[in-house]
Amino acid sequence: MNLRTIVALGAIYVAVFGLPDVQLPTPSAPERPTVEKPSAELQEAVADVASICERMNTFDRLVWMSTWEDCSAIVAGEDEDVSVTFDNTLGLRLFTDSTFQVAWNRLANASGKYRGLAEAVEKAFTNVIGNEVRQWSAEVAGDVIDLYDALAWAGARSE
Amino acid sequence: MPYNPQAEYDNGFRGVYYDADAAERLTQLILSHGQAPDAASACRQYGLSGSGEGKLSMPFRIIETVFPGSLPASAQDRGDCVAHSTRTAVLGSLACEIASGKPDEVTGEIEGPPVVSEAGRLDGVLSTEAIYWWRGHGGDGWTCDHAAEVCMSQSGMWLRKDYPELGIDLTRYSGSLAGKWGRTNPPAEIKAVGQDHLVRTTTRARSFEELRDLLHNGYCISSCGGESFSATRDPNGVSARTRGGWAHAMAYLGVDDREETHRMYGGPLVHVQNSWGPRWGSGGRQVHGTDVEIPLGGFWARWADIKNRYMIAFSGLDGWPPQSFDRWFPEGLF
Repeated sequence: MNLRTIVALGAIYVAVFGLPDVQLPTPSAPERPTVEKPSAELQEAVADVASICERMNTFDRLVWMSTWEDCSAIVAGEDEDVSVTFDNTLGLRLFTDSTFQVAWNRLANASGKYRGLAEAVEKAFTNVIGNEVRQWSAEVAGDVIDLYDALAWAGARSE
Repeated sequence: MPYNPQAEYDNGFRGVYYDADAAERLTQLILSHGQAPDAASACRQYGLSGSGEGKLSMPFRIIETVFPGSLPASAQDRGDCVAHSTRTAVLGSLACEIASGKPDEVTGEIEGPPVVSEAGRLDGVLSTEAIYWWRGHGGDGWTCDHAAEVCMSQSGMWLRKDYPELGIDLTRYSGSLAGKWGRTNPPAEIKAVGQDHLVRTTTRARSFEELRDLLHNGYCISSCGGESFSATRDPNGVSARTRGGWAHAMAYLGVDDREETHRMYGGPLVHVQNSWGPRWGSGGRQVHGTDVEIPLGGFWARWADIKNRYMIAFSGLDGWPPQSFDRWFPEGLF
């Protein structure tokens, strides 16, 4: 069972039954990331995240990488099961929040576990996409996909 | 002859009035909920003071994201502007609460937008009629205080949908349905439904700083007053105050406290959403320095032109916790 399946099953379980009262499986070894190495600018943008990811345990890092990869595929329209449309970046924010509430907060139970991670993620989004609400466009979508891939890469960098 | 709201108000119709007893009742109700009836105290208590200083805050953008097409909704076709203004302010606060991504204090769940049909969404998501039924008289016109009291105690957020068990369809705005009750209060079965989803608290704002900080944190405002404005906006969406005067209620869904705005207009601006439908108003709608447009049927007013209006802010949360819309993720997620 790969991590993507675990994340999907976990999300469905939590959605239907609430928080599970079982120990989640801990994969013995991370899968190699499928994301490409980001540009130098994006590596710089996620550098703080990457440093923090080095302290993550294996399961958390897998959830981290897989969730950003899945979000990237969904925003790129490459996911067979989920499609989303946005008018602007506020809708994107709601989508990303909701996804990580399930994956990071509930499945991995990792919210608040890694000091500085929230600030590092916020900084990466602010630097790459900005804080202003932007109309959705191919350019914005490209920036978002590149950032999501870079955040997934940040989790894989220490492997 | 179809109802022409601007003509009615231009000719002296009184859509709003002040009632000291209603004001006192609202004060006591807010205190009984353990909250501050004055926004100065609320802002201090919850750490909102100064949070919106120098910024452009646009809750109307959040409404348009969470409930696309819901602004400006249908034009009022009777003198129920207080219910429209109240509904729009409550809608704004609800949208911001959803967009903030904070879990509900009671359920612990992150609440998404309520399910409402496209027709209901395009007509403002929430009913104005169910608020207006509680005005306590058979005519038109009301007070901002009493409407706020009703939202906290009798009739909160009724979705625009069909209620077949009550024989009432609120999907689309109806002025005649808004007059179904008034001289007498609605029956018990109506009151029972109205108890669901009450607004948690309200507070009165008096200064620009209070208004600014509340709006910056996603708490929208219903205002009552006697000021009238030009239906022709300047290229930046700003309307000048006119001499005639309207006894009218309108919602505030944005504030612009940027330095360049002060330089251009001699002070800050407040976004006013009128309830006279999408066709009211002409001219520019673009927020200067941005690619954002204000919703149809609204305008920016100079604070100096509206500083004497009566203002009530609404919260669906337990108090006035800070909400951030210039952050990507809610605190505590990562």
